[in-house]
Amino acid sequence: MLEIFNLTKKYNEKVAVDNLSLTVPDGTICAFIGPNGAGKTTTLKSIAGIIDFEGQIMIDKIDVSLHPMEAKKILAYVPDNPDLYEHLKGIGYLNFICDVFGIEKAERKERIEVYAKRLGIYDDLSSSISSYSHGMKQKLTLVSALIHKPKLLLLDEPFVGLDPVCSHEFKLIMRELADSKVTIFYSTHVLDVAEKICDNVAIIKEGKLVAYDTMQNITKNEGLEQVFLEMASESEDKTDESRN
Amino acid sequence: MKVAIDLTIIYIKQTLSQMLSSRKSKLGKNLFFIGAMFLVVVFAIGFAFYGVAEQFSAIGQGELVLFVGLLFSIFTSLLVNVNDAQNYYYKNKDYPFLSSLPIRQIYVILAKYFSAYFISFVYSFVIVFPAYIVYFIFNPVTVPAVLYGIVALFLLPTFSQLVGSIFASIINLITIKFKNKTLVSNILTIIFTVALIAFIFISSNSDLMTNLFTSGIPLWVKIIFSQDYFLYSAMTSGFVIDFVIFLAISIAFACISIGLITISYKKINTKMQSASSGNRKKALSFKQNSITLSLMKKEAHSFFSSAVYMINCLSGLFLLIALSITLSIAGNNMTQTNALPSELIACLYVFSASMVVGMIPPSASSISIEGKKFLLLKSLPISFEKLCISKILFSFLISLPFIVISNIIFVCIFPLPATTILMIFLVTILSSLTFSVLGFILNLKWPRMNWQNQTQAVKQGLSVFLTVAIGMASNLIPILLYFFLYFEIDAVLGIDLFILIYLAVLLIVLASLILLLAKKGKKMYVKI
Repeated sequence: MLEIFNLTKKYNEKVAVDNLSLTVPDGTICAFIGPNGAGKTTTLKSIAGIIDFEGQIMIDKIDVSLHPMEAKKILAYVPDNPDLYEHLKGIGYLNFICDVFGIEKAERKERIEVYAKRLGIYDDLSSSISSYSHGMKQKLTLVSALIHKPKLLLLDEPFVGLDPVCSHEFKLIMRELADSKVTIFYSTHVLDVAEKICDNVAIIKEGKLVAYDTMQNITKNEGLEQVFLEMASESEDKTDESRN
Repeated sequence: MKVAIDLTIIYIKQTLSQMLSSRKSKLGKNLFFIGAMFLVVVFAIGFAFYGVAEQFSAIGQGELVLFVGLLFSIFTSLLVNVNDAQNYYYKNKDYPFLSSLPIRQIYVILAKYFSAYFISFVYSFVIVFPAYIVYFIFNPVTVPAVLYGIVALFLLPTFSQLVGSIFASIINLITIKFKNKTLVSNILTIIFTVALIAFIFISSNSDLMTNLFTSGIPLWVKIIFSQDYFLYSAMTSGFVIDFVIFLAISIAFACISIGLITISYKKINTKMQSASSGNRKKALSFKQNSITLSLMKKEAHSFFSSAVYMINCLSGLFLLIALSITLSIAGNNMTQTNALPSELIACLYVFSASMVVGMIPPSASSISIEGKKFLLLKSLPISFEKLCISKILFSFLISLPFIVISNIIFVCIFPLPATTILMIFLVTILSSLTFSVLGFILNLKWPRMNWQNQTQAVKQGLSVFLTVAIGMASNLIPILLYFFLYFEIDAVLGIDLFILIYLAVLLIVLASLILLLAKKGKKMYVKI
């Protein structure tokens, strides 16, 4: 379970995330949507323990600020841009991640084979990452995020660069993981995909959480895209009024 | 043309902002810090030139210090900057972006040339400026000499830029023909660097100095370093014609460099974009390692796959071996002719060797070289302590074999008492460890994470600049102090005792750095 209490992150004077609180139950796929620069990536980085922040974040009852190592052991983070160690081979990178998580040889072999084959990157694992396309790097990053069986999966725009087959397969994997009680919190701009696969949705604008509920309650009879556009224009109206 | 100027300004601003800090609140503090280190280095180099000038002056040739300064500047620029051209012109991340814009290729090349030139100028200035000051202390100050000197300061880096562009073009034109580009590029870069170091050492051996004392500047030096020679001649004689020749040579160097890059820029970069698909048939290995070993392996991969990262360190280590050979042979000659006692030779070696290892620790850029990948590393359950150990230990271990070999060569050729030998080993090894820790701390404090090419990460960060400056100053000062005590106030302080005192200081510094890392390191790490 992911619990965020009063998360605030400032970069000098700019407030990137403002007093954000939400709880994502176990086995839930939660989409995290919002305009560019709304604070999605900052929130994900805070949860992953990459940047310091004000407030409290709990992952499976572990405080990220107080016990970052314990928290990191049960989460996986996929950044928005797959910047990987280009000088390594695909298998070298996965072995590095397995070493970090202490996964034994037989186990890592089995998991790498399963996920790499499902995402269509297995045949390229002996090649250097520098020869990979953007999509292949993204596939490798996703495999690396899955091999240690995390309890929380943090994904920043995970579908960018994936081919349709891989994209479909990854959606299936996400659902399987959620069914086995893994929590998935992911940022996206692809609203129709989010609408189809997510249980919950959180909408953030200018660092503030403007809506958080189940997908059904948020969308009601409208599409997620329509709801999002209405919320975005409402916020703009309010901003204009306060300026006037 | 405005595009070229704008692009040059962007590149230089980017370099300066990364060096000084992008935050205005820290700008003043960092400027002061850099300025202070800069002055210490300039003063130390000036002091060394002063000693040389005194010897030249004693035989009535005080003006020769200027030529020695110019030569030293060329050698330093060549060693420090010659491999940078590869990254500026051919391995820059911005090639696809810039080539997609409606900008004439020549403007892009000009912008890259001048941004590389700027860094070369900074290194050149640090050496040439104190040489000028010392020259004018021992020689009459004339208006033409000052004027020529100021103008020349801005033109001297054309030589190192020329050599750099020739190296870069040849290496990359060969590299693009091969499948394993990184390996070929690294091997060729090492060959060129070792050849360059050998050339510099052969050029600056004792024969050259002897010739300077007896029959002036040798003809081959006048030809190869014609740019320096005509500047020297113009400044010492005041002849306008010599200065015009200097200007013509400098402009010719710049034109040849730019022309050469223009010919190969598109060809090399286009081929570099098409990476090899690698061997797909190889069996996969799933071997398990400890976290520390895995991190060390990652460091090694990162080190050996980056020509600039590797050469920046290895050129210093090859230099160390060259230094031990040269100094031990020259030392034997000097002690036999009673020119210098063995204690001073030992002092020169031990601190010069420490200076070389202190100036090149890979740890000083080991965080910067991670770039955006560092975020991924931070998201993993890797303790800060393990990260420190892997980066510091790798930095230390890469230097260790070279230090040991260099020390063995020195003590085999130049016989010394057992206690002095022990001191030499202790100081050089401890220096390497201390500067590995220092470099890591400085990089933790001032990482350069957003870079366009690896040269910016490896050579142009504040952490690297400070490590180099502290490495130079902390070893030049003991040399100067020991020589000063020996010659000026005739204080007979045994070299073993002197090194022992330095060793104690070094141990205190190391302990303090480890304490600082333990107390503040994690906080700095989180802030990145």
